[in-house]
Amino acid sequence: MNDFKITNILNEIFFNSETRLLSGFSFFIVSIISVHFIFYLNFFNFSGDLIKNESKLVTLQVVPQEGEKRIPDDVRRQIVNFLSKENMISSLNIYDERKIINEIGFDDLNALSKIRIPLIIQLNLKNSNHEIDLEELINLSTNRKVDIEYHKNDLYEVNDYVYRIKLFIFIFGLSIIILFLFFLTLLLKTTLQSNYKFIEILQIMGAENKNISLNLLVILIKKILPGSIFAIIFIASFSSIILRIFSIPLNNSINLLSMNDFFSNIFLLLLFLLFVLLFLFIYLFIYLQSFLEKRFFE
Amino acid sequence: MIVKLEKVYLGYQDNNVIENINLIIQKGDFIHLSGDNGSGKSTFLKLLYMKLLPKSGNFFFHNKKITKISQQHISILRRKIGVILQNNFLIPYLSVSQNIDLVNQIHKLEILDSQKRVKEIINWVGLKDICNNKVDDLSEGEKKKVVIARALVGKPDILLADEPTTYLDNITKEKFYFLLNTLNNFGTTVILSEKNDLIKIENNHKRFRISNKQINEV
Repeated sequence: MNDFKITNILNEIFFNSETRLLSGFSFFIVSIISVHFIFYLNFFNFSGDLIKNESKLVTLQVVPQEGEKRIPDDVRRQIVNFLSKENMISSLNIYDERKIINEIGFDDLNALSKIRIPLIIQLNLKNSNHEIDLEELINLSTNRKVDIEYHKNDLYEVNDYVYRIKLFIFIFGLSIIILFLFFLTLLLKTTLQSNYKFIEILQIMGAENKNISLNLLVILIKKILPGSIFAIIFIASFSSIILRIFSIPLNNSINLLSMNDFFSNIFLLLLFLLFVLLFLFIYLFIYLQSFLEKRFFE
Repeated sequence: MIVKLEKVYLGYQDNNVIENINLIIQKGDFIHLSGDNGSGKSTFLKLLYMKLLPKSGNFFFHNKKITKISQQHISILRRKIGVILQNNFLIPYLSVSQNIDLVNQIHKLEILDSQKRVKEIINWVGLKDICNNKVDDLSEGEKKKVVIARALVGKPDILLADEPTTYLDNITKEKFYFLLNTLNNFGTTVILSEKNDLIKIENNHKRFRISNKQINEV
């Protein structure tokens, strides 16, 4: 009689025959939810970094005047000096003329008389909202044609696609969580209804609804937990392997406490699972309380 | 005074089962409640163990008015009541002592106190030799004893028994009534509902009958 506890009795009566179903189902569902979470997280960081870095880039092009093959060195120097002094620019990259000539398929600048090689500079701004002083550049280039292209202007469409993909992953993941919740609620309802006489006698003996609910939920969570943790380890390993094997350019870039990707993923997934279980616990507790309170009196 | 009922109307939805109940139950009372099938005996007991609340009127238990809003409070008050229902509601795969100890678990009693009480009550109702047997293996009479022990282990102020002797033979019935009388002599209030009036009535027992939606002292 020493080990006899009411939790053990509830454990015998509720979900006893559903242990395997719950373990298997929680493994399956938590795996799917974890895949969504991992991919959402990786894609979120990847696309966020990509857009952030790309939006800071500006391409500057100064076109030589007619009769000029290239921008004269003194003008070129003045422009580079001006840009180098600007505080808002974190780095500056001048396109190599030779490379441009080679890329358009010539060996020499004098191969065709009408070819003019522009000065192309790629700037990396400290903040994507900064703007380059166009008038000053035109002055420095002695009225040569100056084109400034802010890369952020081309990113609206990409942003839109990225947003849609993230929303899709999020909604799909959320739908699976809701389905899981629905399944657990249904299971709880069925098992409560089929064993209601036992619950009723507990209530008549003076058991509080809160205690019955808490005991039942602890039993349910205990049945779900092993499958869920196993699913998380499986998905963390699986996703790391897949990303490496196929060299998918996604990385979560969250190096938690200098942990590698695998352990960072596990840690984040466990946090996520904790959050999901907490949400499940609160929702099912409210559901159980309402179920028991409705039947507390006839 | 344990229970006080003032102009209580009892029933389900629009249907009144018993009307205008005015009754006071004192500590140590032994009340026999009789009536035909469907007369409302079980409904009346449901009121006393607070499963059913009055449609109108006032219901006081230990001088506290019972209303729908105080569920947690009612759970605690229910611990002062021992209930023997028509259906035993025992857990078949648990032993006799475990079934009885269930009440102590709900009352959150310390293990040592709990074991002591279970042992006492098992001895008292005469289940000592079968205390480790599974309930499923017991006879109806023995099961009824387990239900009585379970109802008494929480040291209730009031014991409600709803047609407890159904399915029992005459010898077991006699023993059962003897147990209830002994309990009552120790100060427990007993309310016993039976279909007929064949019960042997002691002088100090009160007798009520439910008929035509009225509850009257006989």
